[in-house]
Amino acid sequence: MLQYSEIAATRRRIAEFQLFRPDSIDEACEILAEAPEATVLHAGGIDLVNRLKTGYAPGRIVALKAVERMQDIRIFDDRIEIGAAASHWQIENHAGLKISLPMLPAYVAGLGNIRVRVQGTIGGNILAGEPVYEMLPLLGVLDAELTFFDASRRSWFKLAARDYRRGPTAPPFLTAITIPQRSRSVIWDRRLRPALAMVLSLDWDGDMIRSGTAVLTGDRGGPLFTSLPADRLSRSQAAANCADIAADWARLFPSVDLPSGPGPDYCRHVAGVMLRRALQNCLLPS
Amino acid sequence: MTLRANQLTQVGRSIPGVDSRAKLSGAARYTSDIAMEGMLHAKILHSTRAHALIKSIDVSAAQAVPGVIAIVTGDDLAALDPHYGMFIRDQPVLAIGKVRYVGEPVVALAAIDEATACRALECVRVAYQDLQPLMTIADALAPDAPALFTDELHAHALPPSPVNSRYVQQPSRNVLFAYDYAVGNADAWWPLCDHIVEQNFSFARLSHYSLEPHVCVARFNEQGLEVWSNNQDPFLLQLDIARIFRLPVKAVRFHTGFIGGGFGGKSYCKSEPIGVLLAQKARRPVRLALTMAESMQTTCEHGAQIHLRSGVSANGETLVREANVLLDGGAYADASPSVAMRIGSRFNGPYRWKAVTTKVKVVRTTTIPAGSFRGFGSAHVTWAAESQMDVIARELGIDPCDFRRRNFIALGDPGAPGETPLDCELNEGLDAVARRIKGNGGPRINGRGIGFAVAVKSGAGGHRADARVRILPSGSALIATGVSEIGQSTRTAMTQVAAEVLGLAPEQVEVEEIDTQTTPFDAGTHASSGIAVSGIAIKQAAEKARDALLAFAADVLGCRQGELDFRQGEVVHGDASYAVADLVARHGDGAPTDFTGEASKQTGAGFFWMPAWTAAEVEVDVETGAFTVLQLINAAEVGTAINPQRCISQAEGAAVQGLGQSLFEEIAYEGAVPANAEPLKYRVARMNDLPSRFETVLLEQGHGPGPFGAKGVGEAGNLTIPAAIANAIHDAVGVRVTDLPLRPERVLRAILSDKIR
Amino acid sequence: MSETISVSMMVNGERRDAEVPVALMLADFLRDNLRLLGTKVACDQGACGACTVLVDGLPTTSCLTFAFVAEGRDVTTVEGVTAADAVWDAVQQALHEHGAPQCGFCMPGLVMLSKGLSMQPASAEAAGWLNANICRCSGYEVIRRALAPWIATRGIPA
Ligand SMILES: Cc1cc2nc3c(=O)[nH]c(=O)nc-3n(C[C@H](O)[C@H](O)[C@H](O)COP(=O)(O)OP(=O)(O)OC[C@H]3O[C@@H](n4cnc5c(N)ncnc54)[C@H](O)[C@@H]3O)c2cc1C
Repeated sequence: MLQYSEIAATRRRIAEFQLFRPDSIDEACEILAEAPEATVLHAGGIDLVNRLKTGYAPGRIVALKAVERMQDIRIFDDRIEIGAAASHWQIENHAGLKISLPMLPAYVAGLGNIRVRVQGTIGGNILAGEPVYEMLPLLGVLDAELTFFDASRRSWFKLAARDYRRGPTAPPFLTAITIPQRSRSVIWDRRLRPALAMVLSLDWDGDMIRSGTAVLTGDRGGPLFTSLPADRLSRSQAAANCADIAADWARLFPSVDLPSGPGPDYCRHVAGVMLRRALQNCLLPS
Repeated sequence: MTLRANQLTQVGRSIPGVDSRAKLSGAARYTSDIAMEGMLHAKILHSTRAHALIKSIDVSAAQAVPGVIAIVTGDDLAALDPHYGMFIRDQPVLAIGKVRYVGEPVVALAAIDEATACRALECVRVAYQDLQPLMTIADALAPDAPALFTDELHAHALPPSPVNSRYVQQPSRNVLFAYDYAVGNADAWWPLCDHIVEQNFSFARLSHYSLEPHVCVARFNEQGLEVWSNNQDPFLLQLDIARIFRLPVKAVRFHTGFIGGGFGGKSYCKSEPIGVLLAQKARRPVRLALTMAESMQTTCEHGAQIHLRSGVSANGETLVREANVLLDGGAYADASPSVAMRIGSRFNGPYRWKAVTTKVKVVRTTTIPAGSFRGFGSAHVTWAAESQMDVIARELGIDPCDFRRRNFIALGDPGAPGETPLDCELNEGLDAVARRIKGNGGPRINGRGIGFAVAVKSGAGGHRADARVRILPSGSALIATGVSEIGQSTRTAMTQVAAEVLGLAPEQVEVEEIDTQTTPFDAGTHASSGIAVSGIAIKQAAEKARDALLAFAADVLGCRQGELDFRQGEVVHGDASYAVADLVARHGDGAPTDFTGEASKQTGAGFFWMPAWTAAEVEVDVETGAFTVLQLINAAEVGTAINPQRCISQAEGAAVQGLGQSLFEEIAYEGAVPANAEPLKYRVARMNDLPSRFETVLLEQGHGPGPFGAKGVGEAGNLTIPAAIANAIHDAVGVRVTDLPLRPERVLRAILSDKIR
Repeated sequence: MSETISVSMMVNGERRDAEVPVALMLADFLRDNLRLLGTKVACDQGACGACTVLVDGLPTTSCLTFAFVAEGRDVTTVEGVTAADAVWDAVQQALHEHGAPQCGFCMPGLVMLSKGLSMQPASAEAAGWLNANICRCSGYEVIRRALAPWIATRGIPA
């Protein structure tokens, strides 16, 4: 049930807080560990500030701006590491990424608008927990791994982006995102956002599809990941079955109905169309 | 002396707005920029319930918050005349005993700053006893629905019924107002129709989405009450506030500066009395600045259900039409009765009919009160009527443009008995947009289609505007009207009119700020009245001011007035010219300090017609229902363009609002709560939504009743867009969508003919 | 006692030091503390861009940015653009000549957004750049036309 706040959200309503501005990851971890329940992170601040305007008052805020290490983007032979506080703008303009994983800067350049991309960070996008935000699903199909620090346990852990879902409480501290370097085709369709968006990634081993992952996401739910029904399909096998593969995937889309939304049946139908087109795009000679 | 078009020097020039530099440099001051010594900040506690009795309100803890100066609830209204509304006063300044929509103001307080005010509001406790919400028209009309209003209505004088109509106030439970319109003998014509088309349409509840939210600063002093507000109608609000607070009108003074967008949302009384009430109780100046989300929950455009039936002859002559309209008025009346009257009498559209009958009902629901919105009902009418015109043409196998041309009302023809004769020629605009959209023709492309729509809206009916023009000793002029600058460029247009009459450059004309104590009366910045009505008053006032100056000069110079002229700020006599200041000095003692002309213009039921024509081309993805608007070509007709560039801007801005209404605009409810009545969630058009080809044709047919043949333009450009796009979709893929907005799933559903939900 | 913090930044070329509440937004620091009223706050959610200022040359939503975030950085508001040279800035002049302002409330933000674009050496997404801000009045076409040189060249016109 949608709740209505009897006091309008406004920046004037933001309660005071204790501000911390660490300049290293270790220092940030220490501050978080002092009071894990009462401390939240401020990366770009877009979602956090809008939430503070509604009366949410965590008491302690850790600004990540000064942790330069968290804005680093590093390219290795087998992987790419992106600091969680890298802004969309940094990602879309990163020369190394444009060579090693050009789809990522290209995708990010289409997010929101220039103000959002300058301010917003990849970590904030993931951890805001909004189903319409696209970084978590995108990183999921890229088989990315998230590196977290759990402040209450004072321990580090890694999790596949595909398996992460933000819960109602403050998320653990995400410091870095690791994307494996692979030979893959990535195709996306954002035309029906926010109702529905889709990303498809196919990993190639010569002319064989080693694996394939698609994700559907929209304002009514998601991200919903699915793998290609069978591993190691040949290009021609997959191409011959595009429509069936797409239809099977699409049926898995969750059924959440919102007023004035397009309705679950429409989403499923269109998801099938988008997936089929993406598969055809990848598989059929144009 | 009348000027002919070829003699005009200022009128017809596309000068940049006279306030453009101020606006681009950040120097322009809006009401939200006003601050004064000792000013308090107000915040409102809104109802979380759609329909509930207020059992108790506990403000004691809020009262104890340091920095809180005054708190008001419905109990503070006892000594006032606390309801407002344009014709039917049913909306309390703050909820009295009962709330009727989520978002209704229940408690307000003033504190030393907004942060303190917010914190104090968090301590207020309101206990409600829920009643059954009536979220939709169907809910409200259900046989077992509770009555939203059980007590006497706070009605005051309703205007006389427009021609060919009659109305009833509160005809039945939860129906605020019913309006019936009839011309011709429909019963006689229906049997003579060869072809009858009947459809249901829906129109979405919309938000004005002005960027400057409602804001006012109120303060009491020895003279009475002084208010700075961004309301579009300062003089009407002055009357309302005086009545509510039982003050003499003279003791209430309103100031209006630049207004950050209105579109009808700042017409008539809104939240201003809350600010005044707090200022009265706190005995200090109070600023009440709503957030944009609060503004969006203060007023909106009516959602509607329209049943439309039209009958035509086999050769495509429009014969008889019947419309049944249910308007979702929301919780309170606001301007709904007036909107209902306009809707009811506008189904003739731009065509000749033998008979038209219309029944409009405003239904009360427990939702945001609906009020004025650009078009004032004509958007609803045009959406249904122009969609249906297209359907009829297709069923008859006649080209949709030809079908329209066959039935257009002719220039000078009233269309229906008693109506204002049409002051424009409709073929020219349709030809213009049709020619442009087709370009070089070329083969038909699959999935692409072209659609048209035409509308006429009446402007400036029953309006009064006064004006004053003063020529100063410097030779420059000061002009004053009560039309507020809301983005329509009234200051620029009035400047050009006065400059034209006075032979001045625009830089020599200055527009006075609106102050109800000194500014001549104006019935409000609405109904596209500004240039046509106030423009006449300004023109006449300028002529009188010039005459006063020349009479004086003739006296000083010892010549006849007819020998003199006023040009470029000087009085010209043959080859000689005299500075005004010199003439004043020559006269010596007792010379006037300025030369003033005053004038007033009152209009009848209708004053002019604003036509709009649109041609749209779309490309539809038949598998998803998504579509792209490839071309949008619009035409506007303004009589005479005082400033062509500003006219085109009005038409373009309206068209893009219409585009948003077509594609995505709608305030949706989730249960009792508005799900997207806030800026981030309510989608309006952005730059990238513009079609790659977007053109506006400006026509000047010269028949406007305003100064130099001008007429208004502000409310036409949005009317035709949704129907033109729906018609283009029909042309592209052969299906009809009858609900707005034209979301992809609706298009797809039509394509798959209900195979999927 | 409210939590305060000292901030120091360049605003329109002048160094500004102040002790401000920690929760103060950059928009309010500019408007209330420095009385630079050109910057407008409209939606208060980051949707519309009326409050856009430049921070280190990039468009920034000042109603979503704490004042402390601008610490040590270079902030430019519409007043700074206007006052920078005695001459009217090129983007302002273009918007003026094309008659872009209607109600004008979005204009300071739009000027800053456009100014940010004009300062970009070559942005691949020039049309997308201008999509950031909402103008409810104008229909964008005049803006699109006024700023066409910057959109077309994606850089500063010669
Ligand atoms: C107008 C608009 C349009 C948008 N359009 C799109 C779009 O098209 N596609 C899309 O995908 N997104 C879109 N977004 C979302 C945007 O990308 C996010 O708002 C932004 O990335 C959030 O980043 P931030 O750094 O500002 O987050 P913040 O507000 O700083 O953080 C968000 C949340 O995550 C937490 N957090 C931040 N960093 C960390 C960390 N390292 N570890 C743990 N917790 C952390 C914070 O405590 C907070 O709860 C849009 C947003 C807006 C306002």
